[in-house]
Amino acid sequence: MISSGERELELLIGPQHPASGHMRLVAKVDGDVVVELRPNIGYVHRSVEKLAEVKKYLQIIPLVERPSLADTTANNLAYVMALEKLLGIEPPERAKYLRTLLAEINRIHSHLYGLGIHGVMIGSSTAYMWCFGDREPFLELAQELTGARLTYSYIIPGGVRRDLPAGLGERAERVLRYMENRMRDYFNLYFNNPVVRARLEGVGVLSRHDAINLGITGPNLRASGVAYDVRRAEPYAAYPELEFDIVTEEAGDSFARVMVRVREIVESMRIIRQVIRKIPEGPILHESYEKLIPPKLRESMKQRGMVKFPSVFANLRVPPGEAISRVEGGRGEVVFHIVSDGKLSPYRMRMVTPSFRNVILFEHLTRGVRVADIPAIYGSLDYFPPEADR
Amino acid sequence: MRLDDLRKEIEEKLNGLGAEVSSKDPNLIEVRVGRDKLVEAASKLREMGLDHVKAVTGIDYPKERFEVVYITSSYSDSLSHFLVNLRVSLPYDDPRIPSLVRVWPSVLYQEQEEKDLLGIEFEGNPRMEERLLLPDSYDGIPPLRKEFKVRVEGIDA
Amino acid sequence: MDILKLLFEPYIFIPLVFPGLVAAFLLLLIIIWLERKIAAKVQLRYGPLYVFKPLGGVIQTIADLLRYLFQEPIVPREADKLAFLMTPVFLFGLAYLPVVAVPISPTYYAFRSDVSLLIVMALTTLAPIFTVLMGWSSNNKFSLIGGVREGYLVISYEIPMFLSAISMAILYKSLDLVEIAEAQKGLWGVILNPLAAINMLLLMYMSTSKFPFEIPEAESEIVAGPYTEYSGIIYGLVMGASYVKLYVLSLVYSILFLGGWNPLPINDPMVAGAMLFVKAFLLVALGAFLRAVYPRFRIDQAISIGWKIAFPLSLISVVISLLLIMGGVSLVVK
Repeated sequence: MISSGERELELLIGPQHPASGHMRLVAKVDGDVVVELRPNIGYVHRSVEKLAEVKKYLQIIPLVERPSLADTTANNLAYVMALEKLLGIEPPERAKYLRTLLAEINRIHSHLYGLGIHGVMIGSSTAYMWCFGDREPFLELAQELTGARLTYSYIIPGGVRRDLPAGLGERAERVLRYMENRMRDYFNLYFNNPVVRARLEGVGVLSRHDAINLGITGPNLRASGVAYDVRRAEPYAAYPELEFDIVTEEAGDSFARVMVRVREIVESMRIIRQVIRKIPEGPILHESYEKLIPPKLRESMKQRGMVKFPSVFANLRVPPGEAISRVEGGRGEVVFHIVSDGKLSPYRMRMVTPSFRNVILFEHLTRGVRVADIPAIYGSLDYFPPEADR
Repeated sequence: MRLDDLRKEIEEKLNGLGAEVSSKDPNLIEVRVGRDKLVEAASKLREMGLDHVKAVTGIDYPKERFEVVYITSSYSDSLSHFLVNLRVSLPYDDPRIPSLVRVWPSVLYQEQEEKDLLGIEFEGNPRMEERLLLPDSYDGIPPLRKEFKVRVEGIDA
Repeated sequence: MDILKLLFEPYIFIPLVFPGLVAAFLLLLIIIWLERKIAAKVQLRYGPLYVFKPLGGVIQTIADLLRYLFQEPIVPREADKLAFLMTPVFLFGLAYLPVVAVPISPTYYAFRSDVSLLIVMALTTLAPIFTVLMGWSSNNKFSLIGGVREGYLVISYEIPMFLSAISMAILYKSLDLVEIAEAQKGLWGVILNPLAAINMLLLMYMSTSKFPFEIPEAESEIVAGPYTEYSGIIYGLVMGASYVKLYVLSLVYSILFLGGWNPLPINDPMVAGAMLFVKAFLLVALGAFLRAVYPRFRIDQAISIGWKIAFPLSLISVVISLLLIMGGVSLVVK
């Protein structure tokens, strides 16, 4: 209720609101203008960090994937890279390329997910349906590669779970060509739509200085003109051998953030093509693990292209120490900090997801905007509440 | 820039703050300072161009100490390859630490989370009175402390 | 037999059957299905399919209506109960009331008036008042914001819409819808004054919150605006009201700009009515199609479109009409 003399109305947007996601935005509005907005997160906290302390190292792989369902490869890869740093092993070349392949497929469908949600937030149900529909071919590619649609758990210490299926290259090429055609439709109907431009251009402008200062990450950072990408800063997997550009935009508004995602999809398709062309022959599991598998099983494993876990994985012991890994996921940089004391579970595992680092933008970008801009900004951040809550 | 050069530069910058600087290949630098010199050391690192914090990790060593690690880095081309850990030890019965939110605004929510889940007080952080991930009414042991035992169900029990 | 005869008396047939209640209801059922079907086509989906599959799920809306009928209508404890329950009824009633003044052929109308255009336009402006009241009586912040948004929109679309309609009345030198339609036996209004036609079409969709002006009930911002707290069949009523309003405005639009029942092959009221209905139906369908193309504008952008674009355009269209008359274009039916 508003009492007389008060100008501001407190709006509780979420957690039960069509466009809030699993979080609450506490907005103070004066007329149609937002005076202050505070995100209230934690509704889908699943205490990954604490659970990791009681689970064995290999059991944590599915655990870290769950919070960011649309972008599981980033978490999977970052966690395994931290483990590998502690174990002191380096995966074979072919496994690195396969990791890159999955990471890029995942980046595309994660971006499409974000673009679709953003579309429906400003009222374009068509953008939503198109993006979610066009995710499907990429999910199917990933499924063919890993056996799962979203929760791949594909990357394991020392390699990957499955080899490249025969003929995936051609099918991937077909999917990429389909997507390139569709991109034209997207531009005609959505990105160049005057209403879309009116809603997104100049809305929620994040300056370069603020983006750096607030530690923003991912496409949101690059849309403000900062050319930072972990794939360049600290190259991992097969990225050092591949050609790709870091996509940046200068405007820093909602539309720039959308455009960065769109252009990154194109860039990712370029990487996928290179991976398929360049992928070397060889084992997909580190030799020290491969030789632990009984010879007979090893043969059938090679024939079927599927890894049989060596028994040492069941009770994987990691030497004491600390390791930090970072990976550029679809939404931004995933950081894992693992402290090991030589036991079967990490002593402490810190997992920082891109959404958690970007949550600060809600209060920063929404001062003085209109109520209708809240979803336009929210969607452009590609913010995913479970990922922030972990 | 090479790792050793950066280490030397940091050593020079933090001269007189009692900081221990070590490095680990390929790109990690560890800086350990005392709690009272933390803000000063952080400001110096920030001046060097380490412009954001990637993660704030609080570690609980029961009955012994807490450790807080600020994993910092930069978005500039020359420094983005390196990670600099700023590490502080806190006595177990007095887990208070000056907040770095004025040096690095990016730690706002991360410090609040560590307070929420680990019970470390970051003095000066404006969000210390509010819960972040836990329900507002929670008043048990901070869940990330070792004395908080996870109840296991199912086949692992 | 007498009852059947009575039914075909214009003063009963027009409000109750065609183009009144029965036709509006049928249009509602078809257009909601069609809207979903068109959107599905654009969005590479099937849309409603399973309720009566041979015709592509055409009676899906009836199934939905039945569900609404049996759903519990919830009245919030803090709501103003009388206003909360009465407004949907008034809203629907007023959205459909202007239809009584719409003629369906040169000789078939409920009543003939010299100012039937004014009557229709005036009656359509009443409905938004109840939308605002709805937002207030629900005692919900989102409803309140939605109601206020509707209020703001009303003042920015009503004036230019009136002016656009009036510019055509000037051109035909009449406010009588029958005369206006008859005057277009040759050239249609849309050719004579295309500016007024475009302007009025835009404002028509704005006034019935079609995309891109679906602002008062913007889902991702304010849940469902004034309708947030409504459920069950009373929600069905308010949802239907904006379609009915669009239908009525489309009838008027067809008469003003699309020649009404012209060209008329045989002078039969039913043929004339069918002609008019088809035109109105196409206009409503176009409004439904826009959903698949546009997202929604912000309230301030919509208001500035109303005042900065539509309002000057409507003034210009009045001037165009005046110039045409001075230029000697005479369309008056003798």
